[in-house]
Order: sequence, then structure tokens, then C-alpha cells
Amino acid sequence: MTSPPARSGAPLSQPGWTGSDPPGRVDDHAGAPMHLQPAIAAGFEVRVQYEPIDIDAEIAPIARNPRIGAVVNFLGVVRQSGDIDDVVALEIEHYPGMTEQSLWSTVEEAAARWRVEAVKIVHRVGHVALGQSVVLVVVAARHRGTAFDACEFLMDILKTHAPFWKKEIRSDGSCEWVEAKARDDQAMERWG
Amino acid sequence: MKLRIKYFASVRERFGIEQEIVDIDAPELTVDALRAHIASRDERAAKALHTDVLIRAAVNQEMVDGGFVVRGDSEIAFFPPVTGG
Repeated sequence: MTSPPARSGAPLSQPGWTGSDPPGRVDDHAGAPMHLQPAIAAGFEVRVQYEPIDIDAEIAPIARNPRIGAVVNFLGVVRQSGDIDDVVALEIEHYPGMTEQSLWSTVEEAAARWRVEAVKIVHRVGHVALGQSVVLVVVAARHRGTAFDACEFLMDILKTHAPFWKKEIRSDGSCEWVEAKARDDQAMERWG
Repeated sequence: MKLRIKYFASVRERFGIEQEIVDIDAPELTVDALRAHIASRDERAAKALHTDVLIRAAVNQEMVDGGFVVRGDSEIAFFPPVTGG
């Protein structure tokens, strides 16, 4: 099994949550957009990967930015009791191409709403065992309030927009697709 | 017009196929009409895309609603509500 290519670099130009960016922009990530300083733009990244998330390695370079006073991390992990009990793993499917585009749009919108210095989203696909990390969101800013708010926003939008689908696997090998939750839609709607 | 259709997650499993090319001539074809067209093909397709099943759609990798009018050479995807994170 091979990993999809990493998407790194700067978020797309034209920040603003439209949800309807033209297609074909997924490969346009090279180079810093005009509205961001290169040093800041370098801190923005989204990635989809099969490998486990190395949390320390993901966060350490972000904390080295001298402008940053607050780093907020969200880590989503596989829990034993979800829609079904006795969960031993998740199998996560996604829509290659659309996933990265969707995550970039979300990062762009966060950068338009808050003065964030760095944002990173790493999401796993494939087989993820109980207790392992599914998603890491890192937001760095000068002050913690900004970082907390932007991190919550990013997760709420990711939950309702990014094309990932989780299947819960029991110890006997049987499995069920996870149902979308109304509470996730409600969480997203508060951001307007 | 030729449309590339992709299916994901439970929709893909019920259908038994990941993607296909659908050749259809219909002016002002909406996503809902395309879905109904495919669903009418056979029992398996009906089960995967029946109107009772809550399904989202994307055109050229952007989420759209059922009234969106499809153009030729588009990539259309049908899938259940997303559950990442």
C-alpha cells in the first residue's frame, strides 16, 4: 500500500470560505500566495497518509517560529465504543484529490478569519488500530484564544465537509460504517 | 455526454463498483436526475442509490446539491454523509 503524495506548502490564494472553489486547483499548492509572508506560508500544510502520525515530529518545527506564543493541538483517536461496542480498529476511506482540496479550503478560511501563524492537518486513511491517532490538527498563533478558536473551527468544518468515511471493525471481524452525526452539523453551523 | 461516476464507502459497497463511465444524452441533467437514471438500471443500483438513502454528491470534487446541472466530461461522485475526524 502506498501513500498518497503529501500536500505541503502554502494555502491557496484568495482566502475565504466559499465551499465552491473551482476544480483543478489541487496541484496549485507550490509557492507562497501573495497575501502571506513566505515564512508564515511555510507553516501551512495538509496531508493524508496511511502511516501512523508522529505527533512530536509534526509539532516541533511549528513551535520553533519565534512569533508563536501558543500552539493548540487536537488529536482524534480511535475509541473502543463508537456507534458499536468492542471496536478494535477503524478502516478509513477517502476521495483522493477532493480530500486535499477540501482540507485546503478549510485552512484558507481559518487563515482568513484568524491571525494564525501556522496550521497543519494530518489525517490518516486505511487501517487505524484502537488507541491510535486518526487526525492531528495543529494551530499556532501569537495568543492562545486565536489558536483555540481556529482549531475548533477547523475540526468542525473537517467533520462535516472533508470526504472521509470511517468503518468500525469489531474483534470478531464484523464491521459497520459510522453514521454522520447531527451534532457535528450543529457544531459547524455556529460558525455562520 | 460522457460522465465519469465514482462511488464511495457504503454506496460503493452496495453497488459493487468503484467507478464507471455513463454515456447519457439529456439536456439540463441535474445530479438528482442522473442518480435516478443510474438507480433505474437494476436492483443493485436501486439499492445503492435509492432516494430513501441519504446520499451526498460532488461534481468535479466540489460538494453540490441535487439540483446542480451536470456538464459533459464532469467527474461526479455519490457517497454517504462524511464521517472523518
